[in-house]
Amino acid sequence: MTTEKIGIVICDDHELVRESLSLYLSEVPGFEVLGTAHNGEVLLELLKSTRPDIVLLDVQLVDESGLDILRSVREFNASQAVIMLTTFKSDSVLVDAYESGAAAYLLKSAHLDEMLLTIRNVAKGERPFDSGEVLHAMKRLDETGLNLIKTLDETDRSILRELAKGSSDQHIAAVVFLSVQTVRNRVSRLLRRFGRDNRTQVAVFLAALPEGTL
Amino acid sequence: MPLVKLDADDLTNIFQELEKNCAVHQPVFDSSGQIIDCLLLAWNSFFADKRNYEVRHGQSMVEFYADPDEALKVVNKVWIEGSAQQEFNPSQTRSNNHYCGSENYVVEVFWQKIAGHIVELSGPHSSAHQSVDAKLEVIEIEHDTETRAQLSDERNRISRDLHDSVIQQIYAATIGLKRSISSIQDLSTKENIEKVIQMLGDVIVSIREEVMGISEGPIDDIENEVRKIAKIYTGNSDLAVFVTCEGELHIPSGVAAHVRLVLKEATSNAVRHGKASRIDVSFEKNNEQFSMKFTDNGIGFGNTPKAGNGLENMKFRAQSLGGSMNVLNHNLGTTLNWAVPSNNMNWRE
Repeated sequence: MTTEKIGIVICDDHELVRESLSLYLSEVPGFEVLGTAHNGEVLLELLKSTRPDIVLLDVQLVDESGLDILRSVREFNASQAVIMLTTFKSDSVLVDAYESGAAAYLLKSAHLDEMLLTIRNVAKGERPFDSGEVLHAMKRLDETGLNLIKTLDETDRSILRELAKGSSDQHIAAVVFLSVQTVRNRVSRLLRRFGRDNRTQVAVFLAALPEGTL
Repeated sequence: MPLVKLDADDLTNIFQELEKNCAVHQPVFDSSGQIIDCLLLAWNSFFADKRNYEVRHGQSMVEFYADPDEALKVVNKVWIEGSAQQEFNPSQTRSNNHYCGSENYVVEVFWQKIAGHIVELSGPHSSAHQSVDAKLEVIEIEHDTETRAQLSDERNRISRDLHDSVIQQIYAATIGLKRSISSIQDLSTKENIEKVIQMLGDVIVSIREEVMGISEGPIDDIENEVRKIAKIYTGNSDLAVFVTCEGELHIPSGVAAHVRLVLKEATSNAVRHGKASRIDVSFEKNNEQFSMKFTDNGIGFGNTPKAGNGLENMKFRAQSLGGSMNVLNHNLGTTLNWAVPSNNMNWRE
């Protein structure tokens, strides 16, 4: 049995949350807060000098997606355990967090004991994701996507076909004879309607569709 | 006029299939509000093909149009009246080398003001404007619907952002209280603070509920409803939810409000007090009654159900609809049967 403490780094842009979490967790026996960060850049710097067992990472930072930060953290250190903290659960965030390698996905709630338990479990190497919930979320997103495709016009379909191929906005613009700005607007409108946060997710979904669906 | 900022490229794209000349212009005003020029924003290939000069973005009507005075007169009329028709003979203008083809023909031009743009359509067919008319109407309706959807998206986003920061603050306050609790010796003070933490937790849950849109209206997708509610009460992702429902189920709003609240109480009890990791909810409706069976695998209430866990409340809801409720503690957890008659007026709406 090791007596080493569980090292934690907190990344949250909300100062009150960051500070109170840091104070609270540093007083929990067996825990040690190694540092805090208010954005992804600071977090990555911190990870170069510290070796935390756990990173607690907010899903939605000002001007920055916690999911993008999650991916850079995992790129920096593929074995880094990251627990995502969120105020609102959403299917797309759940699926994205899972696929991007988060260890757990926690709601910010008054049940702090749950957070402590999750931190301990993740530190032991567990990945407390409910695979049933993830699968359900995937299913719901896919249904939304399939229903949406039925209602789209030819231009939007062409844009999606290009998205599935991973084309750039410039390339799509040339294919559908629209300006790049218009294509950008249309793409973000489509992503929103698909209920997904990034085009990679949509591209993966589209690429998996049977031929001729689009 | 719909409340939209139409994209000129969008318009051109829509008109492309009409096989007519199409151009979208941005009007330029003088200080008295008179349109003194129009700049070309977008055009389709028919528009460009008809012209002997190179068509470019931002091109001035005054500089390039064969009869700019007439064009501006029409544009000003369009700006005030919404639309106008113009008959135009290219060969009778100051410079007929503006256009391809030398034959003497009359072009019918249909002008329309759409969301701050001047849209020009023309073709040799006299019936051009009729199809265009219909098309414009469709576009306006489409854009109107889309804009409304976008506005509501936007409103949801703002509401979410606002609530997000409120939740963060309450969350931070909760952590602060939780932290101070360990240093407090007095038991009753400790208990009081625990209560405050619980209350703050409930506030967070209420805000979350509000924002996630669990609210009014009938229930058509009961499984989705159960999952949505479960999502609110599961701080962590480890509650397995199983829903069974015989056939299609439509729960009218009068009953749906009770069903939602009972589901919330039951889920909250299962998760918070029962420490359940799984719930099974089944629904059945026949000619006599609608019943809901809620089973969890938690530790239950023991032999003496404590007041204040919402059981009385759930029972009262069933009774108010002429129904009943019973609770069964068994070695696998707790089962709650909630049933109301399905033949009373609450089911007709």
